[in-house]
Amino acid sequence: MSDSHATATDDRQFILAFDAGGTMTDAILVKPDGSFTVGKSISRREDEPRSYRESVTDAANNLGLTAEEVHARCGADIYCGTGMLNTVLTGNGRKVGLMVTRGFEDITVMEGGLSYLGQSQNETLHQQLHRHTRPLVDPKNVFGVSERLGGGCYQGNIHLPPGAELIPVNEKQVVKAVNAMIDRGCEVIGILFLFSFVDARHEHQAKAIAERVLKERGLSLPVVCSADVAPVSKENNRLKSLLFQCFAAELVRDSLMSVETQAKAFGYQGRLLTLLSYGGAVNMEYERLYETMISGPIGGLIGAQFIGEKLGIPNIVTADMGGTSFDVGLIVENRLAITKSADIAGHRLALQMVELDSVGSGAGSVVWVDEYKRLHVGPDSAGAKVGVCLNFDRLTVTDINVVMGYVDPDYFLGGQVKLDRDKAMAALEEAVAKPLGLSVYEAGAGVLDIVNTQMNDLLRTMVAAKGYDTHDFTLLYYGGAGPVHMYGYAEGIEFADVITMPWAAGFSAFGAACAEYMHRYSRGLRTLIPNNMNDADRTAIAEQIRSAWAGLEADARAEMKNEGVDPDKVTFRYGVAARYIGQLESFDTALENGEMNSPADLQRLIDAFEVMYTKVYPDGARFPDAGYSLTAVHLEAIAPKPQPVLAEYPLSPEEPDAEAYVGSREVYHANQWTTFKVYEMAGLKAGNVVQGPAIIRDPMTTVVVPPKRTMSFDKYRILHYK
Amino acid sequence: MAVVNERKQVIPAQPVSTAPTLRQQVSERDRLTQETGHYYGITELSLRDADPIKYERFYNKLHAAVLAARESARFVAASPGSREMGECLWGITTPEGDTLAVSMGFLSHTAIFPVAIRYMADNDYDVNDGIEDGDVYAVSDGKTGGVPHPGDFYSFTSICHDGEVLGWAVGINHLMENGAPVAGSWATFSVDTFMDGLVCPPMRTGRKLRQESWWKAIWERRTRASTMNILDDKMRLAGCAMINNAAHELLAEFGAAYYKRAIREVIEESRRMIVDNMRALMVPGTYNGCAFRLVKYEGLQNVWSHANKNTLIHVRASVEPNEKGLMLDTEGSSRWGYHSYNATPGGADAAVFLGMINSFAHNTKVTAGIELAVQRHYALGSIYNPDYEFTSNANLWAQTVALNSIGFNAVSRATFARGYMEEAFTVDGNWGAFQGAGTTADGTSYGFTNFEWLGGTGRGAWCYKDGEPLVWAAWSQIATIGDAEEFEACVPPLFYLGRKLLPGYFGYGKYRGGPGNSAVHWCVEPGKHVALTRPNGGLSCTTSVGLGMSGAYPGPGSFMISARGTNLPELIAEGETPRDARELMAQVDSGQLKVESLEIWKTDCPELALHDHDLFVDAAGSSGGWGDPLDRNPALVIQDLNDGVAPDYAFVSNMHGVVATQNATGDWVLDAAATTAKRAALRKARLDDSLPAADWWQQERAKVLAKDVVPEVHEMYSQSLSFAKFDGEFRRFWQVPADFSFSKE
Amino acid sequence: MAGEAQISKELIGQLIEGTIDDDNTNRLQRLPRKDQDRFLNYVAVLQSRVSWTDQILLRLGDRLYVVRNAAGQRTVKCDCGHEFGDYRQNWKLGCKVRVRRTLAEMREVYDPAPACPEPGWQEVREFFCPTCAAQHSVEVVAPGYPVVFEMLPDLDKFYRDYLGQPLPDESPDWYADRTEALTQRWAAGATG
Repeated sequence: MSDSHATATDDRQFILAFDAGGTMTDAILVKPDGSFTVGKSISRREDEPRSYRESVTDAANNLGLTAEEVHARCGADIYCGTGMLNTVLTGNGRKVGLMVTRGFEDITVMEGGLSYLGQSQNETLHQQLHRHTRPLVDPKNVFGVSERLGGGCYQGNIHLPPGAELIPVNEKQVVKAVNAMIDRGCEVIGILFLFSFVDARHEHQAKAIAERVLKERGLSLPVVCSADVAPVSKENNRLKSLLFQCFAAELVRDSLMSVETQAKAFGYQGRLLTLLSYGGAVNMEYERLYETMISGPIGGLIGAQFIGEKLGIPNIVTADMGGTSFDVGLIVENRLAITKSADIAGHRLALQMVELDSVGSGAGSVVWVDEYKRLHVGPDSAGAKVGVCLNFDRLTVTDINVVMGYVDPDYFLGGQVKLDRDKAMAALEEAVAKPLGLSVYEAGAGVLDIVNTQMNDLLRTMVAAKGYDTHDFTLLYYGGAGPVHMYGYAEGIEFADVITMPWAAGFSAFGAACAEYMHRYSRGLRTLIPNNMNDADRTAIAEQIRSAWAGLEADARAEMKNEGVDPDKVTFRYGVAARYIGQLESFDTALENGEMNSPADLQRLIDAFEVMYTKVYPDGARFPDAGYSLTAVHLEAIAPKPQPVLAEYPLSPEEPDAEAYVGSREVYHANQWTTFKVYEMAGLKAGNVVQGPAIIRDPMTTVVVPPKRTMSFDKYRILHYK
Repeated sequence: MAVVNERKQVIPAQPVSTAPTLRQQVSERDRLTQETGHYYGITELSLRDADPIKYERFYNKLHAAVLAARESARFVAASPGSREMGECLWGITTPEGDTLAVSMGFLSHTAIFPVAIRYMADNDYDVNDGIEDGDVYAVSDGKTGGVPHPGDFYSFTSICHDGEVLGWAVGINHLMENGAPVAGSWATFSVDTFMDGLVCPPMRTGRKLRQESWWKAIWERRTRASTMNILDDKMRLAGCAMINNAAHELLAEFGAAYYKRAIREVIEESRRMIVDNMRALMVPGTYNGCAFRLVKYEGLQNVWSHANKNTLIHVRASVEPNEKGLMLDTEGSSRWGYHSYNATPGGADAAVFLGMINSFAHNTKVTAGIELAVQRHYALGSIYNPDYEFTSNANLWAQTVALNSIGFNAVSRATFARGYMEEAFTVDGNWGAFQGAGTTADGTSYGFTNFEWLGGTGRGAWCYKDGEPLVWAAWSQIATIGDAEEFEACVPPLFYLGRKLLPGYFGYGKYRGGPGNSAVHWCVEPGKHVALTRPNGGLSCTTSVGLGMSGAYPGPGSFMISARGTNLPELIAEGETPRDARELMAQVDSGQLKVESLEIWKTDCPELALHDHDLFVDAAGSSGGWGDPLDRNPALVIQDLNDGVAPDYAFVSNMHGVVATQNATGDWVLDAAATTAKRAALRKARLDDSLPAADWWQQERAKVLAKDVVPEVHEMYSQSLSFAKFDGEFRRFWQVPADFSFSKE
Repeated sequence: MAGEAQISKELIGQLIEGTIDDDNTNRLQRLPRKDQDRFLNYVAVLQSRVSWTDQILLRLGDRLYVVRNAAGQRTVKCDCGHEFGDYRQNWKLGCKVRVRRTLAEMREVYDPAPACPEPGWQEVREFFCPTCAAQHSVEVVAPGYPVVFEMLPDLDKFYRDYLGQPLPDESPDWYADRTEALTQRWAAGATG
């Protein structure tokens, strides 16, 4: 086996995590105690290894080490890029040839009629704004092939069974299509047939023919089947998954491989990893690489899951406030909440994706007032230009935080950058105070109230929409601006606890480092469990489920072996997709274990479904009389991987050391000037309790502790807000 | 533990109190609004002005609750229409039923809320035997509930506080089967309301956010898809429960006094913005439009002789901006009839508001404000306001979408004239669907509706570019046709052989409309029986609307083809099964597809039984063009030829005056010189083949005086001339003698 | 963003030409508040594109305008210069009319065949400019249907109340349908 998957040994305790954004590439070097240092470089799409090289060297230098020394002591190296997303957005992907079921040749142009993805309700109402997304395949490169399989009926087994062959694959047409694709210069071939998620044999048959033709013509283009990329119902979403894989994934794989080569050149002995959009890490050999399309925001959730397990907190709401948006995610019973259709860049994919909800209000969001005297925050953002106080031409939330005194203009990035409070003040006066006829500070307070309320509402609805109760959840907040606004967006919501870390600004990268080495597998099922079913039949179903899991377990071991994992070290988590007979949507139901041999086991599955269902819906929405239907089995395969450790510290007294106190500052808070004590984050110890009004400053962020509130450091130096 | 469950436990039984009755609340709303011209007499937005931030926070919470209700509840559904597509909606209203906030979905269905509440108020529902928090009411009647058609099923749940009704949480969705003689979702061939299926005037079916046990039996005994309908019912209720809960949290946080004032200010605020928007975008004046729909009922004489006739429905409307917003006047439209196409004022509103919300409310809060800004006149006795209480309105959408198109096109004409060309496009509303029932070999019965072509249509041409395919649906802001894999699973013996855009199928002009859609359904082993019908928004022997835009042709109507007794196995062997309506007809013409019975339906077809290898092909969702076809850029014509969008060379060559030749690779290449010549020739032909209007008028007038028209047209005029406005227009235009009339002598 | 956008005449020209790109279209459609001087800029651009000098008061169609002519009358005018007469009379009655009544005739403008309206119940009317043969309008209506007056603008109200720039020749009877004057003359036997 590759030793990259051994647990961290004493001499390899560093973890490297990269966030290769559109403009900057951040390298986070996590030290054994969980603390970290950040290195930066310009992102170079044409030369990613160079960005990697420069950022990691920068980070190493912060510790007085070289890149080689760091890599030699590196137990895990995770790289989250945006190359794939960029490929889709810019349309510079592979030239795809697409084979579809005859009669569906227009599917890439029709794309189910979806023309409003990513729009707000107000935008969707203005239907002139509806637009199709540019197809990822030239319609002239789409070819129909005569074939049909049946998919079975949702009413159950009352007509042709799932997978019944209605029309055999027309081999002549496949050959003709493949030759045409080759002649038209296609670089990759995708195949999408109806109901291939129920039975892939037609797609695989066409693939075999295609590969034969390619061989005859001395070519080796990849041929990708939708059933292998996303074996789930709904041809339109499955198509988009297939196209992302064909158009972007294979292209980006090469670039990621070259980054790995760079890491190895530095002496790293493992495999370079990246994150799946539903959590978990994989290396660059991973077959369905398109599933790593959205890897950036995933880190924070994984980190929260990691912290939750360490601290024994099962339910967490994450709040990540960065420059352009405020992102909220959910962890329920230590699992990431997952959505089954991801909307990315105007496409709806059949992709499991961590459920993230956002509002466009971040520290850099532009603040403006419309002709109806309504205050607006965002969606435009100053991004790295911060605001009028630095070098942007419009008022931003950060400007207001500077004016109000929350953010110290002289300690931004630890004082590397000086912010201009006067300019911010003038802009606030001009853009908000005057139009609304308010004083500057009333206006500033009003804006922050709007921003905080937007975020506050998102936190509430994210929890409430899922039918959960905030009392059962801990709020974990991070991102550079997260701690600055926490007092506001957490206001009035009763959480079990409200926590953050000293390294809140880099928590996403820290989280990436926490990712498990994990794959998720699903297999379609069409199984009914009517209430009058006898035990013999229930036993048969239990065995059917067990064997389905067994099949997935085998797939997982084989796939991970190819990726250099020791199959014996792979462990599994089990689940099913279930619903009442007649429902269209299935609900993922996690199970304690993979025991499934008896009616009793099946009953445990049904009970688990009912518990999960009634968490989300009122009692009146239950329908047990209808009986149950299983539409898929799920399996998560986990391989060992080095994890950061949360260092424990001896508890100091509640009173912070004198040297932690750096002075005091006047802040306009709750409509009055208040003197806030200012502490240095680095100086605060486990056991310390900071009494509000206070500000804990840090080069990367500012923690605001309002009057009558406290911030206490536990033995991990995790900050608890009360 | 779920919040919604928590609520149920804390709902107190409401004591009989001295709070105002529903009747008092409704009449107060009417009086104040009438007297002041401002909603509920709100002349000052005092809460907003005093503390705009608190006010916006109040509304954000209200709105967020409704949005969240849909995003969560729709997954309970059994019908693709509700879960996948826009065919559902949740809203929260004032005590009087005036909308405060709506979810995504088929938005304008909120129009009926106040109609149903007014009926409950007028009939003292709250007095006898009282309305308590969390009561559940079922509503699907057009007359008493204003419901567009019984296929749209509403669940109202009351929000009460201190013994007073403070609002309603409402959930709606489009049922796949509603138990009419004609199976499915639109009871075509209905003669009166008694054939419309499950029609419920507002009736209480549950308490404390739970349905009572008997209600399940109604779905099981009165509809053909009970499991689906029960789950949809649970879906509506689940969303309402979440909204009810959120409303109580708001009352707790802001207090009842603030709540009562704020909900009225919200509506007045949006009304003002809508009126401002109308003034900012339109040009004052009078905009006229018309459309027609053919109802083919001839042949029903054996059972219902009084309904045994065809009717050419005349849809007529004028739009006139005024101080309060604009007036949409439908006078001149046909009278109601013994057919399924009748509307009610509530149902007509649901259609009319579609374009108005799209145009004037997209940048404000979506509330009942639109109902005050858009004034409507539905003449009593007309198809929009029948003076007969038992009309069927099972398929009103077939003609009310045309009414919406007329209003929406008036806005397009205005934005074009005003210079906001980016907003101006040709509006058509041409939807399709099919429905039916069957029994499989093992005796399992099922009912179904395939909504796919209700989910999205092509967009009519813009005044500066071609329309797009399958990009919107006038009646829902979230166009989605769902997935073939899901619809197929709902209809056991029908399998897709094609789901495509239909080449050439749009209105032609300088810019063309977005092509319509066409699907081929193949019947395999139907078992004991399967039969379907096809209701339709354009299946009517007419175009979608009567007027083209700026010299273009309006979008063609939809149609369907049944090909029964085919040699399909031979085509399967060749791998050449038909993929759309056009290809099927070509294969029939060439003899490749052999058919015992080929029928082309341009109006609703009676129940169509299918057997092994029968084919059922539809076409819908086309849209109109903009501008003179001879002004079309020849390069676009060539592109459409080569892309297969408009594949018939002879046709487009004469349509656009473009000459092209095919090169070795089969691509069309423009012959510029010949094109110039051909366009000149076609322009000359226009002048040669046409008459001066005056001469044409003399000829036509003679026919009018002789009433030289088919019986359906004669009947249409006799109905429309019974309304003074159109009668006057007709007489002034044709200068007919005073004693002239179309009435049967 | 809150402020009023300035939309260049170049962009307006591109809308009229049909050459505007989608990014710009999208930007215009997303303006939180439409540019209020659009109409005057629009008219200015249109005016610069026509061969004649009569002042354009309103655009009715791609090639059709309400203008104030040299004689000070408000008339409907075609791109080509053809005058249709007083804008209060339905300009369609100044057109040449071609009617498609049979399936074969309709088949020339609708495709595929089943897309055609049904002869007898419907007819297709085409309205041409008598001079340049531009197709200004199409009606698909029942035989015997009065020609539809598509839009009668209230120009005085528009210029005074909507634009704040009253027209010099305001008069209470500018907003009235005068079409009957024409049909009365025709009924009396006059032609044209």
